[in-house]
Amino acid sequence: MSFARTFDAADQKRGLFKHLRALVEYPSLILHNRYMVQNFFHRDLMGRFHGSFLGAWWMLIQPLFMFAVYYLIFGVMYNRGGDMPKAQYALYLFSGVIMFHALVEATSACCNVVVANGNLVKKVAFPSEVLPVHVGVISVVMYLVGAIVCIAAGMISGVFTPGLTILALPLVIIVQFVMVIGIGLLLGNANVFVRDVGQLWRIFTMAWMFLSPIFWMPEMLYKAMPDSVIPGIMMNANPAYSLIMAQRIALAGDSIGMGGLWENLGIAAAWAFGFLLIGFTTFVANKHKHSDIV
Amino acid sequence: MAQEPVISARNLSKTYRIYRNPYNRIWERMPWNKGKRFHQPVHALRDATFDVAPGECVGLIGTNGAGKSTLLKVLSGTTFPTAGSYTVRGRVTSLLELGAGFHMPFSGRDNIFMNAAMMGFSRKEAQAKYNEIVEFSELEDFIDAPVRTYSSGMQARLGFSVAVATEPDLLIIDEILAVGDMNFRRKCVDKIMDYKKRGKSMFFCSHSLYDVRQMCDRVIWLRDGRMQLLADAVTVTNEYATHENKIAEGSDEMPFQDVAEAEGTNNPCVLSAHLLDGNTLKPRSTFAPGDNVTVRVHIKNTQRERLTLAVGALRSDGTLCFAHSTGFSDLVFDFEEGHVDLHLPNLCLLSGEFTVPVWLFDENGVHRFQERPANENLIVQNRTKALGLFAQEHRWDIQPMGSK
Repeated sequence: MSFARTFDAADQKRGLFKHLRALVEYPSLILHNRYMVQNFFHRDLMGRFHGSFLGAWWMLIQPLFMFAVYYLIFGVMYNRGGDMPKAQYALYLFSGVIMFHALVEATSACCNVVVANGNLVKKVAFPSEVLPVHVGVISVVMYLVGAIVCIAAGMISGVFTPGLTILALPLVIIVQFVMVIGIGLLLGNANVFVRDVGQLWRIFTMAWMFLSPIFWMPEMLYKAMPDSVIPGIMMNANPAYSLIMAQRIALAGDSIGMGGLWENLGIAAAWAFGFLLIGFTTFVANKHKHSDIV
Repeated sequence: MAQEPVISARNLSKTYRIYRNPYNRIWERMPWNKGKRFHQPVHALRDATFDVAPGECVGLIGTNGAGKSTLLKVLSGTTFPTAGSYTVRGRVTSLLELGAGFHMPFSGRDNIFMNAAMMGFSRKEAQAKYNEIVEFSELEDFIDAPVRTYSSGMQARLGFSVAVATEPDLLIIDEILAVGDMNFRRKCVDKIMDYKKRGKSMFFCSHSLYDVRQMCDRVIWLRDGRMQLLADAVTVTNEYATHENKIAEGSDEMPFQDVAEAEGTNNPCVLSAHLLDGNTLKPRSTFAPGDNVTVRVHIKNTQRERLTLAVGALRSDGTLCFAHSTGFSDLVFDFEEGHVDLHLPNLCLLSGEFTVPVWLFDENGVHRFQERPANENLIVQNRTKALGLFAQEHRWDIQPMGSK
């Protein structure tokens, strides 16, 4: 017989090493179950837009609307753009919004990914660690839709034309994907045991939004708090910071990006894989309890 | 090559922890709560050890809450044992619950693909199987309607069709053949028998002893999470039926209220009534159909009344299976003390436990002096596949049309 499945309850106690090995095999597991991921993806999108008039356009309308509000408040009313021209600041804002929005939407969805699929987790034997993958894919798609609009707007307004840095965009997307899955596994597992995690995450993302470089720029922080450690903390302790900055550079080079591309991308990747490591090991170590609790 | 068992389970145990609220689960883990218990353990399954050989069909019986579903869930990999280990070889498909894994708002078509994907199929494989699945389920007209609009029978059909289309090496079924109409049920049984013939294994649980006896090679009887018995289907279903009938009877009120009434007076009374082996006349209470049984009734009749005696057999559900009276045979007796034997050669009753009521009447069979059960219950264990209450004598004759 081709295939055997063994489970020994005594084996479940030890196992960090085993989980790490499973992590190495994770990509091939995803690849092997790609049809399942595809089905989940399809189901999620259908469920989200089914019966709405604008359908998939909502993927674009949502960030556009967020952007409009931000621009109205921070660009026009408070004039936070500093010495940046209005159009440039608008694109700075928009490029921040699309990445952050994609990140928050996906991680929030991941909180419920095990609980909402309880019917499956309880009754069908399948590798449930694949569950957040389609959310990551949706997140990437959402971001890409925004990115295309952003590039188009940049070219039309003449603020920027994408340069060679656009070639780094696939890397940015991979990092984003890994980060979503990492955080998603962490939250999805935690939310099974403590249902408050989902609610807490909502509150947290609200704070996270203001702590991320969406409408503010690093030099504004230094100017506001010249001798404080706060700007440093806000930039280095925030996983979204490097990712948002890296994708700005990738999209538009220096015009709206700040800092080095590789430096930012490297830090973001470190965050992403760190989350994946913690998220995956905790998820796999606890997933045998899911079906009894959900 | 020696064939390895499809399932080998070793000391499988599953203990559920019931917490009064979900936070006790976390609270219990806190270091300062070490050694304190915040949950109620429920031992759903204890120390199950068995093997299932390739091509074997193993049944699982037991009362509600005996751990049948837990065992099936453990083996299909949706929940995990708290102790012990198991190995399952080959592709496993399980049908645990009606509509398991179906996404209700989606159409039958989408759900087929979704389900196939969950079972590890690629898109190509799923598309190749699609027509076969739809055809088998007979849901062609409804395949684009949302599953939530399906009846329970239709859902069961869809589920079964997808499951068998996966060509599993081991099929795990939990009591779902009970749904679906007669025709579909027959198709399922045919399919299952076909599977068996092709050397695939099955593990299934049912409350229908009939199904279990017909389809299974061996049966596991689970009782309070423990394996009470693991043997061939006939033995286990017999034991189980006997045991369960006993329990059912114990919960009923005794049908004979006036047992003590006649004793101690000068009225005629039954001193004892015993079941004996019809050949050796030694006490015996467990018989098989075809055995000879004797019921010996000791009677005291100080007044030397003219008496008749009746003896019957009463199934646990209250069905009177037979009753014979000396009066029917024009036999009246008036001895002071003695015994009357009722010989039952070639016992016709099939499986079950029967109470043997004894009635003492006057010579006309009108006034009843006493009514009481025999000291033992009559237990019949059927080793044949015949079903029903009694073994009707019979003979088959098959005549195809046109032959002489």
